[in-house]
Amino acid sequence: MKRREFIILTGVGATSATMLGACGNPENKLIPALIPDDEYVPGIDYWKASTCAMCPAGCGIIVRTREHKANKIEGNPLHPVNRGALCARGQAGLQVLYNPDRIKGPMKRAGERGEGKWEEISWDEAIKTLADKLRETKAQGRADSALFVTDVHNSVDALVGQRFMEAYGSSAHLTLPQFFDDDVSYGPRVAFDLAHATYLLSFGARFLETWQSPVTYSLAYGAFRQTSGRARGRFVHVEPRMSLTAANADEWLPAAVGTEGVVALGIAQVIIREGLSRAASLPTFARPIDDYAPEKAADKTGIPAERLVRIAREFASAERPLAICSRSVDAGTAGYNNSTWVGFLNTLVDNHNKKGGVLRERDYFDPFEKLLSRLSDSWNTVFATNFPETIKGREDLVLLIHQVNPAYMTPEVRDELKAVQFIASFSSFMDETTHLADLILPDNTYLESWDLTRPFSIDANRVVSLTQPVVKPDVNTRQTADVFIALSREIGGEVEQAIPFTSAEEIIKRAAEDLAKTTFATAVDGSAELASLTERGFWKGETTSTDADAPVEPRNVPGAQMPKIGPDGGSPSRAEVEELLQRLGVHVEGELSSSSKGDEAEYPLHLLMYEQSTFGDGSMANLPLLQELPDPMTSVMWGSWVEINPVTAAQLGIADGDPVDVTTERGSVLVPAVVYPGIRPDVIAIPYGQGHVAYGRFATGRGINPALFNPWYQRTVRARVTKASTETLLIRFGTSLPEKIETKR
Amino acid sequence: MTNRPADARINADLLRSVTKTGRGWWATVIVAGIVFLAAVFAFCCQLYWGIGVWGINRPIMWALGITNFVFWIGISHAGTLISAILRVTGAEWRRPVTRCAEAVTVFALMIGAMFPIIHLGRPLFFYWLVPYPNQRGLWPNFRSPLSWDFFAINTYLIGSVIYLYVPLIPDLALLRDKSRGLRRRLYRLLSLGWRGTELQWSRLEKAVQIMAVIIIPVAVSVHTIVSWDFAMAIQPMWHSTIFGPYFVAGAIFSGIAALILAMSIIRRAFHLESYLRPVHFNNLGLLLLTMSLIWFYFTFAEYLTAWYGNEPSEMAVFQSKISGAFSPFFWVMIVCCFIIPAPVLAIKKLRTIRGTTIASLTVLVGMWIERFLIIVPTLSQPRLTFNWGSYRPTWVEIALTAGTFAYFVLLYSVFTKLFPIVAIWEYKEGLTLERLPAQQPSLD
Amino acid sequence: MSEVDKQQKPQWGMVIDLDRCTGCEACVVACRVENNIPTVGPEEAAKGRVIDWIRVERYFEGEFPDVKVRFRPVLCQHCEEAPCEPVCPVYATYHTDEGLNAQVYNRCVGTRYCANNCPYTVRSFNFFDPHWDAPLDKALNPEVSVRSRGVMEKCTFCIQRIRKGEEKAKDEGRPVRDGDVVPACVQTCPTKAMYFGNLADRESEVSRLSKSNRASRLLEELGTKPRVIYLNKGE
Ligand SMILES: Nc1nc2c(c(=O)[nH]1)N[C@H]1C(S)=C(S)[C@@H](COP(=O)(O)OP(=O)(O)OC[C@H]3O[C@@H](n4cnc5c(=O)[nH]c(N)nc54)[C@H](O)[C@@H]3O)O[C@H]1N2
Ligand SMILES: Nc1nc2c(c(=O)[nH]1)N[C@H]1C(S)=C(S)[C@@H](COP(=O)(O)OP(=O)(O)OC[C@H]3O[C@@H](n4cnc5c(=O)[nH]c(N)nc54)[C@H](O)[C@@H]3O)O[C@H]1N2
Ligand code: SF4
Ligand code: SF4
Ligand code: SF4
Ligand code: SF4
Ligand code: SF4
Ligand SMILES: [Mo]
Repeated sequence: MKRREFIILTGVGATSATMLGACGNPENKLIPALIPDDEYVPGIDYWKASTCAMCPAGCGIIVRTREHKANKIEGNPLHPVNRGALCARGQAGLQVLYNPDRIKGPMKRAGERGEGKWEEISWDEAIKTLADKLRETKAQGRADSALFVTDVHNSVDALVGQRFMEAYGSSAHLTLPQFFDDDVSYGPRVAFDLAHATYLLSFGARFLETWQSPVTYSLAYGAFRQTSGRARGRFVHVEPRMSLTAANADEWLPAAVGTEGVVALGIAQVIIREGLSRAASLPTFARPIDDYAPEKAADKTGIPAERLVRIAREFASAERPLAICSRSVDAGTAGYNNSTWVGFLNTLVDNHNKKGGVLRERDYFDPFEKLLSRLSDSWNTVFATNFPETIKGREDLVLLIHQVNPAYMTPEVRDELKAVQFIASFSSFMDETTHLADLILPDNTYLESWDLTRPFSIDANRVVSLTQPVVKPDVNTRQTADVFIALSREIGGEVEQAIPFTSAEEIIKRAAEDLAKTTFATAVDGSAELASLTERGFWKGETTSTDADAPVEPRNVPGAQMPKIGPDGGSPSRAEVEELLQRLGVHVEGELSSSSKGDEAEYPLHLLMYEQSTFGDGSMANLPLLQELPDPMTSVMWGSWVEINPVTAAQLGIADGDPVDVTTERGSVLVPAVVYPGIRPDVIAIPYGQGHVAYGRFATGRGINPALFNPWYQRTVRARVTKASTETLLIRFGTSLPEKIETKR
Repeated sequence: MTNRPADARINADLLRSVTKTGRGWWATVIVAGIVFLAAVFAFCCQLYWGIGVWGINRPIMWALGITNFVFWIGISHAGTLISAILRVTGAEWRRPVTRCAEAVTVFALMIGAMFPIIHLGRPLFFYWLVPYPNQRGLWPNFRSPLSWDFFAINTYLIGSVIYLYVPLIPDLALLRDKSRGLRRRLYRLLSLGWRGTELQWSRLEKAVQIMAVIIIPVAVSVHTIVSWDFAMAIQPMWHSTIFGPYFVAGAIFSGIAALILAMSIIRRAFHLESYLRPVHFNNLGLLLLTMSLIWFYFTFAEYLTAWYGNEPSEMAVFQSKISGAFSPFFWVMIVCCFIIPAPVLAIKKLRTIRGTTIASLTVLVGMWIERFLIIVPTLSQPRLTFNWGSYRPTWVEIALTAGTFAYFVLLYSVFTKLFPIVAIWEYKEGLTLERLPAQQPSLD
Repeated sequence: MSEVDKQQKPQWGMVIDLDRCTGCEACVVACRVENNIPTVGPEEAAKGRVIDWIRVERYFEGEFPDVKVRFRPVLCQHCEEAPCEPVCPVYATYHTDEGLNAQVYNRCVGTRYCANNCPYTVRSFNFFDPHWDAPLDKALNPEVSVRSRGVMEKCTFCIQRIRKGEEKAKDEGRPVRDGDVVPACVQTCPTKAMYFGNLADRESEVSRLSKSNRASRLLEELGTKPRVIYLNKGE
């Protein structure tokens, strides 16, 4: 069978036993089918199930295809992660597949590095070129100079690549810091039962935009707001700027940057002093928690004491209170202390493993455990937080770069990259890093690839989601795992033996069969299960039970670790408070973080950089659908902006739409100002995502990349804003009453 | 009575514009022609690229195109309406003015009527607005004010052309007799065998009289219907019951201004000082003054009710005109339509030829702005304030706007080359009537 | 469905729960993809010519720190008394017997009068020919026509899906019911804030929700009788 189609839409009236009957699109009856090309019926929709890869959440998708072209992506109604829904990015996925700037086939550099001259070559030649390079490097006894660089997600591509590199003799697998913003106070395998909570206290967790699994939490949020038979949930959000999530809160608490720990402790203090705690026992504090009473901390946090006291009471007396927390509250610091105190709030209201609370850890399983585990214990994955430092002066390096774009995420690494011996890129697009490569082996997009992922789900303990090709590539690209397999054949020997597979497809099917026998069913051969997997796109294990045995433990139960300062009892001096806050990892004015030592007088503002919900880290900037989607808060399209509080703007003589220079210790950018009522006066914010210098026609040369200010993923730095004279274009979709008619759009 | 020219002089004077072509004429035609061609080019660009070459957007879907439409349809009220009213009321001083006025009407109307086509997203399908029998049984929507426009404007155009043409016939015959060659053939064709017989004269008089009576309601209806393009809509500051009379008043207002301006230019250009005399300017000036007062009254009433009603969406538009983004235009309009012309026209000393001409010029500017201000501020501030927008015209719209004026000048210039711009027979008839004993005291 | 209801053609309507809606704009992208809505590019976007059949309006209220934000997805309200309809000189926009405000692209001559008379500003105009850099055009939905320049367009309530749903119900010899027709925006909504169905069927979800005490219609005072019903925010 030359080509396989997995799901065929039966005509109207067909009555196969199918799964999607209840999905709302009644004609979309899916039956597993293996039909060759010539049996395609023109004019009939074929729906194929797969998994969205536009972010790590892993929502299930079904893709409508007709005449071998995909024309719509929709959420898989049965998928436990998203139950049919998709976010804006997920909806735009076909523009990745049919992007006009996709690399059409393998290429090798023709001109100088970075000059942008390329010669098209065949796959055979591409693979031979890379194999030769690797053989030559090995022959020189420098096999450890070859490094495979990927993101942190264990895709089949990354795993096959790692196996290859280990067998070949490379020293390590480098992953660049890509985070899935898990709840940092618990670690990665906890779910929050938002749908059943009645009171939600969120510390910067942008669960409607980026946090963990936005669609899953949006679904839960809908239920939290309006479900017949339950009261409307109340939602309080702590964040220095009003994100989309904050905008949906009933109450927005713009606490000072980095003081979330103090806010949480203040709430805890009220709960304890008023005897509202539901916890069986309270930790003993080395330092009286009274020192964090809202009354004492109001100056620091900017939240009036009465307000915090009221919220504490509401939270503690709510039927099912829940506190969640984002990585961003620890922005710019090394510790997890702010988030620790948020976790402590859950302890106080005793909501672990309860309906509407913090649910127990999900089961751990690895779909590729048997097939692609590491060959020896000495092989390791290095989380290269400081990638430029790692490769600095290493001119001997041969880099194989997959699914990451370090030259964009850390623009200053460009010089180091230019100096290394050889770069092979597997990117599907001519991004900043690929632009510097010597050899390009373009990957398939997710809609043409095979993979198995293990997405996060509130509903189920175990979910495995299948990524399978929904169309054949129209361009001459190949899935990276297949490229590594071909490479291993070319090199032979140990390397070939280490990868005893013929294709990514085979690996996925064998992994699925293994899972069918172990994790998801007790099948004998797994073929029926495999058919169901390819039809439905996922398997799900047992549903999360709220009264499971395994208790949830926050990472650090507060107690003895509480730093002790000053004489017991008495209220601490300002210096003591500051020292405490610093040890807690809480920002202290003027000492925001190591990379922002800037003088407070010179840089009076905090600059937040955030991932705008559609563009995220920038890999979506090449999709015109998302470029032309107005930012939900500022309504800006096709560019960057800086958000400034109206009072601050007035003080600086800046009007809405004015061009401004944002300057930090690391340089300056020119960007249009958006006068934004939802941000603290001492804070400004710039979204990530734009400012590409390469990445196709839709992304290149548009807006600015604030990563310039943010070398080691420290998201908050000190900055100053001044009005600039050069015009910059601010394209906005909508106006509102405060933005009067004179506003440029 | 003493300075009235003799019959032969009259013929010579009034035919001079037809028979002699000066350098000024050529200069005017060339300049106007170039501007007109620029507009044609702009329109070709529009046809080629799409109407996106205009500055319109969402929510401002109509702007200069419709401004020009309303403006020129307004101007067209000069003529026919004025000459008809003057004819019906038997105002004797009208005689040298009628032709001039009727020509203004026909040309302004031709230009105005182009805009509903020019401004279409798909101009080549304009004929879908025409009710013609077709296989698919598709008819236009007779409930749409745009369909009403279609009928009203076409009726008015046909009526105006007839109304211009019928009184031309005796003059055409005169020309036929005095010309040769191609012109002669043309005039012979157009004069429909006019011999000046008793029967022909009486039929002519009757036809002119009937037309004069018919054309008045048609003209009133035309601008009322144009106003209904807006008033029938439910947008803030459009949905107003006084729009009908307000528009008609505005139309007559701008029409008279256009007529005065045209007369003053013709007078100079063709040395018709003894035909178009201060009395005409004085009388038309008084009419213009009346219209200025009426216009101001309507404007005041219109804005006061909007303000007093204090309905938020109306107030947004109101504010933007009075003190917001559009206020410069608004106040220029008030100055041009009222503050300048009212005193100039009210004070007898200032109501000279020059005075009325200047007042007419400002009125024309003011009334163009008025049309703009009716359209754009309302559209730029729809009820859902998230969608407010702003508008800036592109070169295409500016070229088209300039082109309308150039085209008007061009048409008018050519007209003066082909036909006497003062009705010779009517003028002579006036003189004859004056000599009759029963004649009332002269007007001067 | 009662006997009386069955006689009638379905009357399509939508309910949007503003308490669930987060302003995420997934509906906007879903609609663009399903209905072949072109992106116009930055230059045109700067001129205010973005085409969309549904948008999420955002309104700020108050001053820091007491700022409130309201989101409201706005699409064609399919007004029962649609002001856009009578003004169209060529019947390019008219009312169907299923309560839809329909738009016949091929008949539209582009007067833009309908857009001026839509109090909800939901009509988009094709100022230029739409364009997709190849191969982006491969993703076009074969069931929805691509509009040429000079014509008006707007939300159709995903008419192509309505037709399919109705056909299916007919084939099965039953009246339409909830779930037969799911427009693209409703389908994708991550908070399930949108509902679509037959308002003539008293048992449908939209009928039930339209009687909620949170229900209201946009600019109700104009008497346009919208077929889109909003459920106000709680509290
Ligand atoms: N400027 C900036 N820098 C940042 C951040 C930021 O938001 N902005 N955020 C930080 C964070 S949190 C993260 S997670 C990292 C993210 O940093 P990266 O992981 O580098 O993220 P992207 O820039 O999205 O790079 C992904 C690249 O993969 C390529 N690609 C896309 N599709 C495919 C495919 O199918 N196959 C292959 N092989 N390649 C493909 C694209 O060319 C794209 O450039 O950046 C960090 N640094
Ligand atoms: N839709 C979508 N989802 C995604 C991604 C994506 O690209 N798109 N990317 C994924 C990846 S790789 C990542 S890393 C995550 C990133 O998602 P997030 O963890 O949400 O990270 P940021 O986008 O940096 O968001 C930073 C937010 O924190 C706030 N903030 C900054 N400093 C402080 C502070 O001191 N205190 C508090 N309380 N708030 C602060 C800012 O206002 C900003 O809104 O999202 C993941 N999910
Ligand atoms: S949340 Fe992530 S996985 Fe889900 S649809 Fe959006 S981009 Fe795709
Ligand atoms: S998709 Fe749903 S939640 Fe998102 S903006 Fe649209 S209606 Fe609101
Ligand atoms: S919302 Fe506008 S376009 Fe839709 S039916 Fe009503 S008036 Fe017409
Ligand atoms: S733009 Fe099209 S649909 Fe609208 S009124 Fe004009 S012809 Fe009718
Ligand atoms: S109903 Fe269909 S056409 Fe209307 S907004 Fe939703 S997706 Fe778009
Ligand atoms: Mo990330």
